[in-house]
Amino acid sequence: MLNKDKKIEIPVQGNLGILAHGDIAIEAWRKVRGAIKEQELKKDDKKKDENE
Amino acid sequence: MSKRLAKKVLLIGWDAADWKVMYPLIQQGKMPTLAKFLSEGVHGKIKTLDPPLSPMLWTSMATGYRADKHGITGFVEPLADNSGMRPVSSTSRKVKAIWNILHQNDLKSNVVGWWPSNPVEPINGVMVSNLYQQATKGKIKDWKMPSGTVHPIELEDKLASLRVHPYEITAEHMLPFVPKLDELDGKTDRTLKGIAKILANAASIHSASTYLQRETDWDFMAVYHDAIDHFSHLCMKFHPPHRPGIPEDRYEYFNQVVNSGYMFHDMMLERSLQLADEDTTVILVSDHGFHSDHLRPRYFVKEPAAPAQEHSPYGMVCIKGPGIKKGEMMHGASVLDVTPTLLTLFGLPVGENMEGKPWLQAFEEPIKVDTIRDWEKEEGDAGRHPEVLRDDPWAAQEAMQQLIDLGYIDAPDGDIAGKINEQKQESKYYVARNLIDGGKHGQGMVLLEELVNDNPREIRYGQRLASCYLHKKQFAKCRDLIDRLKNLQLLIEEEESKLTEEELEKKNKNFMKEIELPNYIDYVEGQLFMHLNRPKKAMESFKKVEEKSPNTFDLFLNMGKVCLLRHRWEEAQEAYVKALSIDDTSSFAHHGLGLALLRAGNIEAALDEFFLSVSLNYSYPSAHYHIGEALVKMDQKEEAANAFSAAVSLSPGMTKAHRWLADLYQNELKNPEKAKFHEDFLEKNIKGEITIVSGLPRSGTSMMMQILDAAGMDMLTDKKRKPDNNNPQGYYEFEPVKRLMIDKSWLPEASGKTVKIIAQLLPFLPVSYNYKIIFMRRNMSEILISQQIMLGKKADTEAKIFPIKLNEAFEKQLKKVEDWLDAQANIEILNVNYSDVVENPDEEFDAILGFLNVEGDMGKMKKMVSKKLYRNKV
Repeated sequence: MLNKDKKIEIPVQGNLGILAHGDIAIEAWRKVRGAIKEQELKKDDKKKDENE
Repeated sequence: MSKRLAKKVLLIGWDAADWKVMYPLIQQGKMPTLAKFLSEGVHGKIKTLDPPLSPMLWTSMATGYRADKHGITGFVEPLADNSGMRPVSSTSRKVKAIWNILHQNDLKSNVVGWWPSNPVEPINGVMVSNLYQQATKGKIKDWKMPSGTVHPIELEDKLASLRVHPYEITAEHMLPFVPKLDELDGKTDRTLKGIAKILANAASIHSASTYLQRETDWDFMAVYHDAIDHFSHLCMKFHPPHRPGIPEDRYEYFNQVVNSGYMFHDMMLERSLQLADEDTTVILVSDHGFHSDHLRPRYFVKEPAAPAQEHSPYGMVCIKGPGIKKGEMMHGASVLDVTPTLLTLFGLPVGENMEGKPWLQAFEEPIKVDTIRDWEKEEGDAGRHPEVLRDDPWAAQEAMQQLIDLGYIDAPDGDIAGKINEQKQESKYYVARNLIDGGKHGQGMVLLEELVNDNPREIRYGQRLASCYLHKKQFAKCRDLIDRLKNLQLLIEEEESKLTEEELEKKNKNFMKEIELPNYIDYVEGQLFMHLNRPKKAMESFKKVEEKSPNTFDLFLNMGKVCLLRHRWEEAQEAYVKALSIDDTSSFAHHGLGLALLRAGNIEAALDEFFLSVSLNYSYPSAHYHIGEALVKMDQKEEAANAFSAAVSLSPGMTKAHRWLADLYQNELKNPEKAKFHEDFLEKNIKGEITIVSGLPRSGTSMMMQILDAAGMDMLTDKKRKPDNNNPQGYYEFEPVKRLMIDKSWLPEASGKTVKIIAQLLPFLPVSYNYKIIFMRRNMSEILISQQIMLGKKADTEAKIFPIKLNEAFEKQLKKVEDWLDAQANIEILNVNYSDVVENPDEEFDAILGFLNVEGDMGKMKKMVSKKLYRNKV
């Protein structure tokens, strides 16, 4: 039987391996980095507003 | 019913994947999963269809039909209310896809991202449409899925949550693609943004597919990835080696994008295979390739969908699983074969009206393939859209237009109506090309005539129509159309020269920046010249095309043919080598190269090419025949006989191979029984024997005709050309002979008779007759002087002005004819010297009568020879 539940590393900043592993890894990564990404997006939006 | 060969089948589509990029990566260990896949299965190239447009191709793959039958005819279609355009949809597909047939047979399918699959169909299983991964502008939390994206609806929320938005792509994801990422501005650099979007889309599709692989039961799963195609369109121009015109700094930043895209797919493949059971049959396939080397186009033709010119005609395919051979290659696969192969794997019959065939060569054991007349005729629930939803969008648009014309509804504004009409014409054009690609030139011609009629200034439509006329042998129509298009081209150029830069840019706003006027017309004209036996002019046209389209396989095949016709063996070799650089699996190109080498006397190299040709396509009689010819030259008579026998078994009517076999068995291999078999065949099948008097004009051919007439031979002459001072006893000509190159219908009349044919026309004789040729030889200076006098240039001859160039030209022509005669097994030849006949007729007449196997009255024959007429003796 092939290893369907192969463990992979989930760094906060993400990597290609996570995307290539598919659904499980992506969900796990989102749990790890979720808040950080939202903050970045907020920052981006704020910058855009300032520029406009 | 056939045996089911596969428990489960996983079909993975990689749009535009090409071995030319993958082989080096495999060798460098950068695609380890694919490398393992190849060792465990069978792989090869897959031939695309024309035009190589993805929605049409992936639908052909999923149905087994071309666009005229499956109904997906481009990228977009009109909205039902005629108010605008939308991406092509699944409701426009006119036939069942493989998942519908499987549904009908109680099998479960998961289909992810197939193009086009929106709105999803209610199949037994799960369908995630091709609009699933498309991110919309705005915040991630506002990212909604379009309606009709997921079936069954219960999975909608879960699958929506698995999508990856481009905003989620981080520097760490991007670094393998762009190592110097920190030197670029991710917010403004369009290429960087493009990479992030493609990566996010691929991750979304993969995420949905891994989820469905893990969480659902299925018999068949199809997953379509467009990322390789998109990475390639975005960054193939930066792929090594660096090309002139590509900015150095951009090249430095982005030269690893394409390779990294492929490596990312290898990583995704690893996960998909991990999740598949070991007894799953896996097929990995692309719809076309993508030029990655010197064949990358320098220009795009000025037409919509121009980027498709970057596509190469061969994609990739590999298959592994129970009962599939391991580590082997397969040849001759087509996009149309995918559905027949899937049906065969599931033990279901293949539609007799499907154009493709199952890949039987991939199986370890012989496979029995059942057929069914037409899957469309099989009634019952197939998991399709309800009848009311299925619609031909263009027919619906016509109906809508009729209502507008009748005044029942308002017309869309001018811009929209114009765009819909433009797209309608394009779709019709794509269908016409698709029909032509399938050999249906007649049907393609009808559509193109309508298009040309409605759009007389659209050169593209006209040139494809000219090509159809050519295939239907309507040469005059073809010539007229080419002339009209060339004039039109000049007119358009003149008009454009008067436009300001701004106006020109506006006119071309839909086209690529690097544009050139189409040159396909030169290609068609070249082919027309070939048909009219004007190889030199054909070559001039082909060279023009080569300058702008150096990646056209058929062009090089045709250039090779022209060079062979002109006995330019080295140039022929060059042309075929170029063709092979585009497609090294073409049996035609290997055969052509072999022929050029053979004629140049490089017999061993020729033999190698012929063997390659038959290894790629065993059913190629000409290649076997030329193996025979090469082996005869190498004195390997028995092997040569085997090759000729193979040619005859594939093409039983190939008389020239029978002749060789009769000769070899009779004279070399001493097997009279076999010799008799082939002699009997020839006796039964050869339409007749024709005696020919040939040679250069003024070499004594008329005299020989008179001699043979006096010998009692039956002469074919219409006596239209009257005797004159140059030929006081008559010319013995037959007018239709002059048209031999285009009209051979008179040949039955010549059977059993004697006819005069000048040397230059001999290569146009068909092989269905035996010929006895009396070839008149005469000193070339005498011939030329005689010709000069006949043309009224007596003064020149008196002034001793010798036409050196003419002399060289005739010598060359004669050499060509001699080379050709050498290679003909159905021709017996007797060379007769004019001066010998005049000086020593008895001896010559003996030889002639013996050669013709007739008894002639030597006295009467001699009366035809007059020393007085030997006026230009040198």
